[in-house]
Amino acid sequence: VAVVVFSGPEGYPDGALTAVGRQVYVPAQILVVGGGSPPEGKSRVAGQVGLNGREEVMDRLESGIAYVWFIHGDTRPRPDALGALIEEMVRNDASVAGSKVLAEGTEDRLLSVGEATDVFGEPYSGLEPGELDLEQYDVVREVSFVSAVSLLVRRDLLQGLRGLDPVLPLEAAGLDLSQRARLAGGRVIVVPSSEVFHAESCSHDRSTWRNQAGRQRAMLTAYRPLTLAWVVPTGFLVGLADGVGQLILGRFRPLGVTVAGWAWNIARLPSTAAARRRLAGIRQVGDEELFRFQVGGSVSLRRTAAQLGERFSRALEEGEAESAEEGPRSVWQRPSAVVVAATVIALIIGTRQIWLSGAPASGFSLLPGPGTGGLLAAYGGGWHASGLGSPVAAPPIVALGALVNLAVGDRPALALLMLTLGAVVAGLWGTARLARRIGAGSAGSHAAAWVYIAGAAATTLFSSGRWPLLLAAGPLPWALDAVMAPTPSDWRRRLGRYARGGLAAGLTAAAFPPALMVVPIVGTLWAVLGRRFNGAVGGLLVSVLGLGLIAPFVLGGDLEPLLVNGPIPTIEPEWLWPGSIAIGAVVGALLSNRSRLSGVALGSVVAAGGWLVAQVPGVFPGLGMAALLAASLGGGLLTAMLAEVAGRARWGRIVGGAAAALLLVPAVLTVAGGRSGMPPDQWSSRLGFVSTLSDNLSARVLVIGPAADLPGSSRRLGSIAYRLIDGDTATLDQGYLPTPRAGDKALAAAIEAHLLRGVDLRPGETLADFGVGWVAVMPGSNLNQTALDRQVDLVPRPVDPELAVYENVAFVSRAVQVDQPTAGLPVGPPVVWDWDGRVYRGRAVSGRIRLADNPDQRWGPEWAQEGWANSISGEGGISRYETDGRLRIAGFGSGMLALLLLTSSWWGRLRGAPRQQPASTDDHVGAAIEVAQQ
Amino acid sequence: VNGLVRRWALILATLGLAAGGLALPGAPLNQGGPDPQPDPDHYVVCPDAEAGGGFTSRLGLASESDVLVTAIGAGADPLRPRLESGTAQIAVEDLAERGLTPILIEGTGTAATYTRAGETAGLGGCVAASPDIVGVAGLATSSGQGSTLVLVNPFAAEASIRLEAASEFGPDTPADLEEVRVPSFTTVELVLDQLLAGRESLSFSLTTQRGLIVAGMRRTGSSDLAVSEAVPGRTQWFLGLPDFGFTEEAHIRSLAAVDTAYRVDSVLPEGLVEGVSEGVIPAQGQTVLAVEELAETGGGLIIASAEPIVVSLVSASEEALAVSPGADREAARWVVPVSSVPAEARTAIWILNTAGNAVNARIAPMGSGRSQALELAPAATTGAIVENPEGASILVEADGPVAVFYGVLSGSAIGMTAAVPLE
Repeated sequence: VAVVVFSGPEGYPDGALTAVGRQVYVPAQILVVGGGSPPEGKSRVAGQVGLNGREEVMDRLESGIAYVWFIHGDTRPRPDALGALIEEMVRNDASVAGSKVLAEGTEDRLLSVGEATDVFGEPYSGLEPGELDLEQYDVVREVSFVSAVSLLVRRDLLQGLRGLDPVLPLEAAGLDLSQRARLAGGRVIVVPSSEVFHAESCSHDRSTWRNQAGRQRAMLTAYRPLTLAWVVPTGFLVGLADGVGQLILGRFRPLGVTVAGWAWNIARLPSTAAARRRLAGIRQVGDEELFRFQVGGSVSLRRTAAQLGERFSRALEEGEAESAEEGPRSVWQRPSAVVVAATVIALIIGTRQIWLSGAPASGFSLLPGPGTGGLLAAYGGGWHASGLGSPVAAPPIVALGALVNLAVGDRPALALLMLTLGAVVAGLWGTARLARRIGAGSAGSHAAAWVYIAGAAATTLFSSGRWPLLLAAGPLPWALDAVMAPTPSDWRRRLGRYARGGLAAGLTAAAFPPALMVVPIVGTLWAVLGRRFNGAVGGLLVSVLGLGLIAPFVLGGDLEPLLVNGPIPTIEPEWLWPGSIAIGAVVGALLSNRSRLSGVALGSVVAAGGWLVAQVPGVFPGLGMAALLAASLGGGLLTAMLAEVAGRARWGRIVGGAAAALLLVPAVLTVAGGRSGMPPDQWSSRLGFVSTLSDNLSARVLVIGPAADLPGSSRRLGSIAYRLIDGDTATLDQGYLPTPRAGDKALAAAIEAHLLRGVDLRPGETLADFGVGWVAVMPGSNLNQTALDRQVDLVPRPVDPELAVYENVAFVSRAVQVDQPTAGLPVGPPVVWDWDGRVYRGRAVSGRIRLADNPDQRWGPEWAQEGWANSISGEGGISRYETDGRLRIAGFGSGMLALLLLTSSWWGRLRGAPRQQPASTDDHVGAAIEVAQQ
Repeated sequence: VNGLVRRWALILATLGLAAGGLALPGAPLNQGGPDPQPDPDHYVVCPDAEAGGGFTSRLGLASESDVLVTAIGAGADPLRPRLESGTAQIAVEDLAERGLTPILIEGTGTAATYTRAGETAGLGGCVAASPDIVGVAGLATSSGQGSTLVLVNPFAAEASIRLEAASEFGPDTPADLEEVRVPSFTTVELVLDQLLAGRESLSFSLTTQRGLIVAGMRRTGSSDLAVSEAVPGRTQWFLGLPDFGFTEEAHIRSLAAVDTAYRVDSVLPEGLVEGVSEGVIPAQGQTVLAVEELAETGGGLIIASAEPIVVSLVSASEEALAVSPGADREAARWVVPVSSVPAEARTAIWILNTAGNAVNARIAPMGSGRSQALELAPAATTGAIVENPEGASILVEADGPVAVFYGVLSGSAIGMTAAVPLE
């Protein structure tokens, strides 16, 4: 036997040579590759020959050598290791044999007992991290490959295979040699009775990009063309997917390693082709023989998925003290992971219709408008083109929609889907964190999340089309989490936490400004009930930061439409919510231990108090709905406490569980619905007739129907609700109608006179002045049909079985020349301009153009008011709204603040920042109790 | 102890909040103010208007506002004259080509009639569409007579109606006519001469199922023609009986789905004689009463019923034929939208005074400054040929409730209709 010792950067393999020297089976020759000279005072081992490179090994083997034993320079074989290898190799008629590898410095920690790969060459040991050698693998068996840490090969075979591939790192070379040996008809076995110790942090680290590239080359060399045809592209994609997954985990290297590995192999294609040709000459079996010892799927993808799950679980339970029991276990062996998995499954089921069909466009859940119009209207001082328009800043949710739409490449349906699902996921995740923050365990925190997002109160809100509240429900618990968490002692983390809270509060306010009030109120309640007095200050601080993020709306927006747009939906049956909360509060108060009593108190008071506010007659509907959202959160927190009531008696847990179930049942029903409680789609394509039946895309649609069914907000005339929609889609930027101005009042008068009273037979002619090209009447509207039956210029069009659609056959234009010169010239049709969502354009004319929008002097050029509308000069062929500089500056300021908060949040979470230490024993009481219960 | 207090404080606080919320009445739904109710109709349609040669065809208007006049079905871009408020006449030929051309007149407080004059004469009222069931009586297809039902949809929405015919044979609706679709801006003529041949008396009820229509009828006799409009049912009708020497019949049509009792009171010089005729009309049936058996010429009839009916007076001689709906009320002020000019036809007005005392009345062509005073004898119909060279609409004012009728006399031909009450 010849021993080939590969020395690493650490220099002369003194330890390995010493161990080799103690072998019972004495080797005839010892070759040291790249080992240099022995240290001073040490003499060469008998038979030792120094080699400069691997290429020399075959040439330097003595003639009587039958086996070659490759070992790393940091390998420490037991004295009987070589003997066992020889014995088993002969007994099993094997060609390649490897040793059991144990971690150096330990007696029994396994590193490898032969290995498998996936089809892409990624190694898979099958061992748990830190797994001990209990002789559980002590059987000689065939494996995919054995590590070059200790690898014995028959000399004749090695000769035929032309030795180890010199361009491959040692680990990859071991794999390559094993595979080629198998294809040449040899057997590759692991011999557990041959034990070697090896450093874990080996200089021949298999995770280097060269090793990855080498493994790829081993596959490229071994597989037949048919296999390569699918393995190469699939492997490339798997590598990319794995790299992206690792990116999410914050690791940039794996993607780089993948790319570098493939680049390296492309550069070495000629030598790979030569290696394939050499192998073809001695190949005895097909690729199937390799597949036999491979594992299914992709090892790297499975590993990355597990790491993502681990990271998700940890993020969900941030702040949880890692227990001795849970720490070392795999993520899926933790109880919390099972709960997370259940939540993920419930999320998929509960939002399946959104995944499959897109988020429903109904109520205020509307597709973002195209381009940057929404952003400009909300944050740039632009024209808020809703109804007949307004110069006041649009609600910030318009900008939120526009930003996401821009981010996804102007795909409104995708943007709506992402906003909706993002809010649901954020709400679930944030609530679970928040619940743990106040003492809940895993199961309770997830129950809390579902009661908050899908319970009776939430579903009542969301099913009535109050999508902005769903959007606000996403970041709200995150804002509260920042408020209610113990104050970190380190100022950097403290800054990061409040920045994160400010961002979340800003998003909450952007979605539905009145919902921001929940943050300081709940913060203050927590300060009182939980005796965490920083909660009150923190609540105010993050609320102020949140307000800063919607500065244009605060300075120049119109809060009234958000506040007065109602009614407040009612939880049915009426007794359900107060009854559930009352029972829950009694059970929680009587059965909870002291550490959870604060949580029970907070949940009960917020749930009952929020509901009470929503019941107060005369309360602004906007405030009432925000209070109902807070009630939903309170109900969730109470459920979390009830789900794990630590009663001494079994009946206590049963009663607590039953009380929690009372709050959870509506959530289960909502999940079963599959639409996250949202109403069915109504408006994504319902007004498509505007573009299919007419060329006039600038025309407005007057939609009349029950207020709850109309897209966005509406105006009222008696019991009749109506609103205008621009063009063929009800978009998010039109969702909220601003406070009525001159044009809106004129429109109301026109509708009353011509559509309700029917003062003449030509309502279309009057509505044409407002650019109304279509009238759509929904079922359930209280409109008396008399006037619509006895008129001559609104022609019914059978385009929708449920919608009575009338086309206005009078001349309709939002922008039309009004002083057409006639002296000596034949009178033609008046010049009309088109509206593209931001500006009016058309043929330049010498006269004036009337714009059917609410009058505002920022329209131009040469603005003048004409009745309730605008008149501008038609000479330029274009009319724009000059943005409000004050609001634009405010919008810029909000943007800068958002960037600052993002940066601070990120900076405060950097690894360099000291982790927060628990401020007191009950900071993580939920986790502690959970551990204790296990 | 401290912990126990906290627990009970929490229970009491939560129960208090929940009970408080339940005790509150809840936020009221924003119902808004009262809904604006539809205005009265600001238009009328003359369903029988016809343009052609050999006769003149005019519309007479009286309106409180400017009016817009449109011929229905006269092409995509019809001539649409706008007339000032007050009284006016317009020739149908100025609006449309030959043939049946119903006219839509838009304006507030508008009353109108249509006159066809020449060898034959017809006078029809112009009415608004009614969402309620309407009826028309006085048609016939026997003895060389012909009748046509005219269904006009002047509006943008398609209409669909259910027709129920009745004749001396009882319910008599051909299957083809049970439901008729009338597209928007369209007139449908249902010629009954073949479908319902040989009926001495015919009447229709028309129930709107979708949209709105205005209906009329045209009946041709041996030497004259009559036109009339469908009107909503009422439980009381007034018929004035002028002394023109015609044979007169009262055609009563029930619009009810149940049998209807009726009673006829006769206005005679000696006063009102109640119950000169009583009977029961089958559901959606009709009955025809010979007037000479019930009243005297120069008198009148009051026909009352338990359920809504329509009543038409059919006046005929060898050379003349007229069908006129009765007046559905008495009033002190009436307007007669005169649609005839003296050169073509004389204008006649007759006034039924059902009271037991004499009533003073004044007939004044609008805008002329002239007026004619009449003393209306008690319980009698007083007729007058009005000198009205301008063809202006005529205002009739009385110091008691009366019923006013309008007729045109063209040679031996005649047309009749009820005037329009102003209150």
